[in-house]
Order: sequence, then structure tokens, then C-alpha cells
Amino acid sequence: MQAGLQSGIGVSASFRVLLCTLLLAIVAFFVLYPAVTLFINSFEINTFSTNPSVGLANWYEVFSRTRLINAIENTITLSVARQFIALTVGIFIAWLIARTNLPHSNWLEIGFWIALFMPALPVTLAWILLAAEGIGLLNNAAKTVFGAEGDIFNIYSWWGIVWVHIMTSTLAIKIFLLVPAFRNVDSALEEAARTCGASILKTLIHIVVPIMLPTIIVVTVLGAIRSLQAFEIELILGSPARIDVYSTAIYKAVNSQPPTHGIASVLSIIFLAAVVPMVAVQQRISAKHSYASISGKFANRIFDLGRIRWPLFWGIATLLVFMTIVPFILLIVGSFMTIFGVFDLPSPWTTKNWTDALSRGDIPRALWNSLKLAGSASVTGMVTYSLIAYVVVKSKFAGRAVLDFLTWVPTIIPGLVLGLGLLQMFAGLPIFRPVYGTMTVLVIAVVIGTLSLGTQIIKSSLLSLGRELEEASWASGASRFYTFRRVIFPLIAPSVIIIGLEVFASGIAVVGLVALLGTGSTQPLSITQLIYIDGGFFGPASVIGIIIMSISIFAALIARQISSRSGLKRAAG
Amino acid sequence: MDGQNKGSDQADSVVMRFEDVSRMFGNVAAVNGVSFDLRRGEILTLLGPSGCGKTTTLRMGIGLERASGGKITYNDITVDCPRERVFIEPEKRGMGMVFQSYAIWPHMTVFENVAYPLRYRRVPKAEMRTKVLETLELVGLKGYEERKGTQLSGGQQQRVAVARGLVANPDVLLMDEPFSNLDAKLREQMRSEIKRLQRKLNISILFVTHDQVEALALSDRIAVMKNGIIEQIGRPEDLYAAPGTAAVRDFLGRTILLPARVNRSDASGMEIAVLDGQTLIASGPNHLTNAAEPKCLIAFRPESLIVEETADNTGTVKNQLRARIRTLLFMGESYEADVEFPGGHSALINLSPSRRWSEQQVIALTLPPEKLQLWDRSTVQVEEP
Repeated sequence: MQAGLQSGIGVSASFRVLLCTLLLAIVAFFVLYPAVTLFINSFEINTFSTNPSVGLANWYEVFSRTRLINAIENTITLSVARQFIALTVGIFIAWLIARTNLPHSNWLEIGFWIALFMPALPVTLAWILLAAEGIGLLNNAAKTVFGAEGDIFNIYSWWGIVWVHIMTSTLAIKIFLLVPAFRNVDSALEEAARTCGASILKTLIHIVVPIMLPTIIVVTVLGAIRSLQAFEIELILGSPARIDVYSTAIYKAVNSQPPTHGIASVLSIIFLAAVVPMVAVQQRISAKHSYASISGKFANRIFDLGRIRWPLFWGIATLLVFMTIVPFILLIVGSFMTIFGVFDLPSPWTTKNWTDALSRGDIPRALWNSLKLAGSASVTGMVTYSLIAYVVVKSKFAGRAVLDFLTWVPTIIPGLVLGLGLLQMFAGLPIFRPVYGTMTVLVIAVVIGTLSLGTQIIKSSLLSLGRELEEASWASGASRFYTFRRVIFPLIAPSVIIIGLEVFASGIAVVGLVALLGTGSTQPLSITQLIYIDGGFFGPASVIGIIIMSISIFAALIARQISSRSGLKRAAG
Repeated sequence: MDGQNKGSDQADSVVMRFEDVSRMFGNVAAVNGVSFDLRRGEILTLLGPSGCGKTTTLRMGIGLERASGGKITYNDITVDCPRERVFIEPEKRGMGMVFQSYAIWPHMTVFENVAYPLRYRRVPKAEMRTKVLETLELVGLKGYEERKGTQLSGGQQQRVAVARGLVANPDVLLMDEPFSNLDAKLREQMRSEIKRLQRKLNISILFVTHDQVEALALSDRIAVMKNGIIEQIGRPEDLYAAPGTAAVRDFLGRTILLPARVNRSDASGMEIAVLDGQTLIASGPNHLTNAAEPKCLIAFRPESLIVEETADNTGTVKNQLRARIRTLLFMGESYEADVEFPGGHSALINLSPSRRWSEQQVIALTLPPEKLQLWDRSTVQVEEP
């Protein structure tokens, strides 16, 4: 009896180690191999000719072409500009929402939550309608109302790219990540400054921002990397103005005839080389200076803004309307127009875009592809992330720290780069030939793309469960599996479902990650839209934009509902 | 300079005055018409259970909370008066404050933390340095200037917070439950240090606590608060010996309450009967509101009892009650006994450890008439605070 029991434990324990090792191997392969492939391919010359060779020609070419050098320069300047603006505004708004008696701050927070889910491509389209040269509504309004000569706004420009980035996720993610952090600062730290003679603004600058600096740096790095992933804005707005960034250069290199994968790989490696130190610095800072809670006691009182609270509320509300409602309405208007943005035609309105979109085969087929992609990725993601999180948090598996580290790796690899790596991996390895060009490739890409966020959120949810909850179940005679099913899973289910919805939403809106993978019969809706916009067909693109936006916002609202009902504190990053 | 002189020539003058101050949160009055003066050079404590409005009152004093009604003046200047539309921001009031969580800024050194109030008072660099070092020495933190806030223990953070509150020579220092995060030993030490500092600098302190022992030990005067109003204000000794309201009686120290009936009253005191028929004379404060109502409560402090091992059965000793020891707990410096009076009422009293006591023993308790107070039956809310 005694011996049988022990050997039983022994068998299941080694079986568990085997399973964990397998999980580690799979994650390591999918996360690391694309980067390795890119590195190897960057030295491969004449890939598609009869006698490929190895050398530094690709590297030499990148650094000798001024257009590519410019692309790297643009990437840096655009990033710095939008991060600086979004950070300044984001800190201020997050502080207002978290720490002051700003009216209806809970509604504003929901607004920024929706803005976070707003897909970049449809929003870009809306801003073209608003501020493009010649057709932009704002330009026309300026001409009629103020008698302006010529166009004031030009969205196809350097500042246009910065602006649309800020109006999509760049600002929203700052607020989303900073608000909970601001709520966790002891308000006595601020009040103490005021009793010492500092005004509200000086308190914010001298006390709140320095204390929050580690968090702000983390948020900045995460935000910078995330905003680099949205390459579609640069592709649509930058190409007419001949503004290239590294990601559009990669896209163009792969899509050129003949494809120059070597150049694309070099650009990707340069980018990774630049991001890795950034992440290292961020990790060091957040490990070294965690001021988070210096004392046990903790108060969270709100600042009285006095009379400026309403003007501030209206200012932020207007910004949110332009981030969410205005793009949506504009796309609806645009989808019913004969010529996108031109109102002074004899018959400017038409339902042709909708009837065309629904009767032609490509959009319904792409929609079906997108739903398949988002649905499969969502289910696969929920299972995979839960497994990884469980092993990292609850098991004694020796490789769990490595596994935890691996989940962070995709954070630093922008979608397009990861997509390129996966493309080369699936094309290059014979065992993957059967799935090459199928939906499976896209599903894997989306699951890897959300790996970091998904695992982190489920991990923090698992960490918040006291060990005694499990132990009580074991003590009652329940097996490990039964405990997981009846105790752990019901408690972490809300965060798992939220992650599922987030993966679903990103599967619907995803562009960069699958731009190089989803072609032909597996093309999802987002890529169909990219191609329509790139080709200037704004009518059908608006129809697709409305579909994508509706699904994204719907997913955002359900996720919000679940998280507020289960009282979950989202711990992202 | 001004810190040294302001007490002597202006003794008993008022530093801060609250006149009928109230604070509404929605429809709830957290503070409901509070009036008191903080005199120069005194420690005035707002004492009460959590939610009584003491912290809100303190925060209105420095301007972290706005009054909904009434008037607050500081050195004869109105700092908050909604009726006159006057409100001076906390940063312009020039007071010092010590927070419950200390609020030591973790990104600054001890020196920078303490120097902070001087930055906003445009004090020249050299003078600032002298002043900060002087203040740090005063609170016993000499040599700690370059440490970060995170490298200090709780007690040291507390001292930094006090130094920061004092460094700019404010006329008043506000302290919000400053010792509640310290362990018992450190708390007692800080208590006497604060009193020593206050006496040395002759500064006025408005102190908030829910700890009655702390309030009694530290204060020149105590204002006991409950449900947003001040129940009673006065010297600790007076409040303890002669509580003016039932809330003060129950909150400060331990009080034994026994139901009784009034037999007759005259100038020398009342003759009252405790429920089992024993009669007592009471000449302490009489809080009865209805002379026609014979039912009442007698109240007394356990320490005013004179305890004897056996009861005198001859009846010659006046004002004696018999009680039986139900349980006996040895506390080191004394025994704590749960005793039962005839009629079933029980109370906790302390017994001298120099004698031998045993459970079930019947003892005699003599009550000095002047220590017996009379209260209405309706004033019993909680037996033990």
C-alpha cells in the first residue's frame, strides 16, 4: 500500500516533468527560432537564385542605401515624438482620472479602454477622411468657416503619422497602464508636499512623477514597442509622402520583385539589437527602484480640482470622442459615399459599397477567415497561456524561470518582424511544409504575438490566489487535477476569458503580424482592408473598417464587463 | 528665533480657531459644527473612535479638506470660510504636518525630504543647510542626511517626518495618528520625545489619535469627538475624573456601570440602592436628567475601589459591595479579575499581586462616595470601549 502510493507519485511526477519539458521546448522553439532564422538569412545572398552564397552583402547594402538609412532615422524620430507627447498627456490624464475629483472619471476610463481596442487601420482611414489634402472634412470646414486658403491639415505627413498613432493606442495604453499604478501611490506623499508649500502642479512634477518613474519607464518601453508594431499607419500615410520606417521597408523588401528577404532580415536584426538594451535597462530599473509601497498604511484620497474640473472633463471627453465615436461615424458616412470624402457630387450617397461588399466573394470569405483565425487563436491562446502560467507559478519544474523569460521575448519582437521570421521558418523547415500557407500559420503567429500579455495576466491572477486555497482542497482528499478543475480554474476563469477576448480582438484587427503570412485563400479581413486602402479603394475599405471596429469594440465591452464584475485588478506589463 | 519667544509673552493666545466648522460628504456630516481654540504652546488632542470626524477636522485645519460651513482662522487670518468665499490652499498656510504613513518621499534623501519646505520659502542655500542639519540633530537623526527614505526603519521615518514638519518654524504642527504604525515600545518612546520637543520649541500641536492612553499621556487638553461633534474638551485629568457625557465616560479608561435606584436625595449626596438591596451614598457628579425617575446607573472607575479580602458582615463599613471572583488572570504587575456582583452584573477589576487571590473567592469592594457618579439608564451603549 505504502510502496504503491509512493511509486504512483513517482510515476506521475516524472510524467509531469516530461510534460513541462515538452511545453518548454515548444515555446522555446516558436519564440526563438524565428529570430535565429532572421539572423541566418541576413547573411544569405541571392536566396532565390540557383547558387545562394553567404556574406555581408545584405548588411552592406542596407547601410549604403540612403533610403534605408532614412527609414531607420524616421523610425527613431517618429517614435520619440509620439512617445514624448503621449507620455506627457498620458501622465496628466491618468493622474486626473486616478487621483482627482474629475467628474465621471469612470466613464472616461471606459472610453480609453475602448480606444485601446480601436483597430489602427480603420481609424487611419477615418483620419484620411477628416484631414487629407483636398478631401479632408476639417480642411473644407476651415475653408468655408474661416475662409482659410488652401489646406491646413495634411494627414499624409510626418505629423499626420504621429497624430494618428497618438489617437489610436499610443495614448490609450499609457493611461490604461498608468491609472492603476497612480491609484497605488499613498496620497499622503502628495499631501505632504502641499503642506510643505508645493502647488498641485509642482506636486505632480516634483513628487508624483519621480516616485512613479520606474513605472513610467516600463510603460514607455512597452508603449514604444507596441506602437512600433502598428506598421499599417506608416504604410498608408507615409508612402505617399515618401516617409519610410523600418517596418514599411521590411514589408516593401519582402513584397518587391524579386523579394529581398536578406535586406528585410538585416533590418529586423538591427531593430532587435536596438530594442534588447532598452528592455534590459527597463528590467534593471524596475528591479532596482520599486518604491511601490514604502509603508504598510496607505491612503487614497482624491484631490479637489475646484472649478477647473469641468473644463478638464470636457477637454478629455472631446479627445475621447475624436478617438472613438468620430472615427466610427466617419466610416459609416464614408461607406455610403459614391466617392470617399467628396460631398458636392450630384448624388454623393450610395449603398453600392455595401451591396458590392456583400455580393462579391472576397469580403465575406475574408470575414470568415478572420473569424476562424480569431476564434482558433483565442481558444489556443487561453489553453496555452493558462498552461504556461500554471507551470511558472505553481509547479516546481526546474525550467520554469526559463519558461517565464521566454514569454517575454515576443514583447520585443514587432509583429512584422515576427511574421517574417515565422514565414522563413515555415518555408525553410521541411517538417512545416504541409502547414505552410494554411490558417495554422496565422493562428500560431497571433498566439505568439499575445503570449507575453496573456501569460502575465493569468500569472498575476494565479499569484493572487493564496496557496492555502489549494492546500485546503488537497487536505480534503482532492487530486491535483480535481483541485485545478474545481478550485483554481473557477477562480482564474474571468482573467482567462478576458485574455481570450483580447486574443480574439487582436486576431480580428491584426495587420503587422500576418501581413506577410496571410495571402491567397487564407487572407483575413484586416489584410483585405490593407490592400483596399493601399490601392485607394476607400469605399469597400470603410465597410470592412466598420465590421472590424464593431467586433473589436464589442469584445472590449464584454471584457470590461467581465473584469468589473469579477472585481479583477488588471495587472498588465 | 521667533520659535523661541512666541510662547512666553503671548501665553494663552489663540493660534488656530475653529468656529462652528462642519464638513459634509454628500448628505453625511463627517464633522458637524465643531468649535475650539488651539492655544499657543499647547498640545491639543482630538480623540475618538474611527469615523468620528477627528482626521477630517485636522485636515480642514491645514486645508487638505475644505470646510462646508463655519470658519477657521490661523493667527487671526481667516483660512477657510465658505460663507465669505475664503479658502487658502494648504501650500500657502505655512503649517507643518506629520502623516500617519509618514509620507517620506522615497526618491529623495533624508536631507532633501527635510529641506523641502524651505525650498518653497525661498531660504538661501547655506541657511537651508544649517537649518536642516539643526533640525535633524533635534530629532536624533544626525548623520542620516544622505540616506534614502527607503533605507530607514519605521521609527526613523517617523523622525524624518517630524523634522520636515518642524524645519520651517511653523506656529502649528498637525499630527495625524503619527504613532499608529510603530510597535508598542517605540510608540512610548516617541510619545515622550514629542512632548520634550514641543516643550523645547514651545510650538502648538494639534494631534489626532484613537488611542486614549496616548491622548491622556501627551495632551495638555483633549477634545473627545463622536459622530462629528466634540463631546467634551478639557484637561486629561478633568475628563478622566469627571466625564461630562456618556461617550467620554465610556471612551476614556474603564468604567464600571451598575443599575441602581435612587431612594432619596439631599445636599450631602444621594442615597441609592444597588439592585440586590444594598445601599450606597453617591456624592460624585450627578448626570440624572429626570428627578422623578428613580431608575439610574452608578458609575465608578475600577481603580477607585478599595478591595478587601473578606467582607465585613457587621454592616459598619459604609458603601461596601460584595463580589465573587469568577476568573483570575495573572498579568504580571497585577491580577485582572472578572468579578460578579449580586444580581449577576460583572466587571473587570485589577487586584494587587501582593496578596493571594483565588477563583470563587468572595471579596468586599468599598466605594468612596465622591467617586460615584449617577447617570440615566439610557446612557448605556457599550459596556467596554
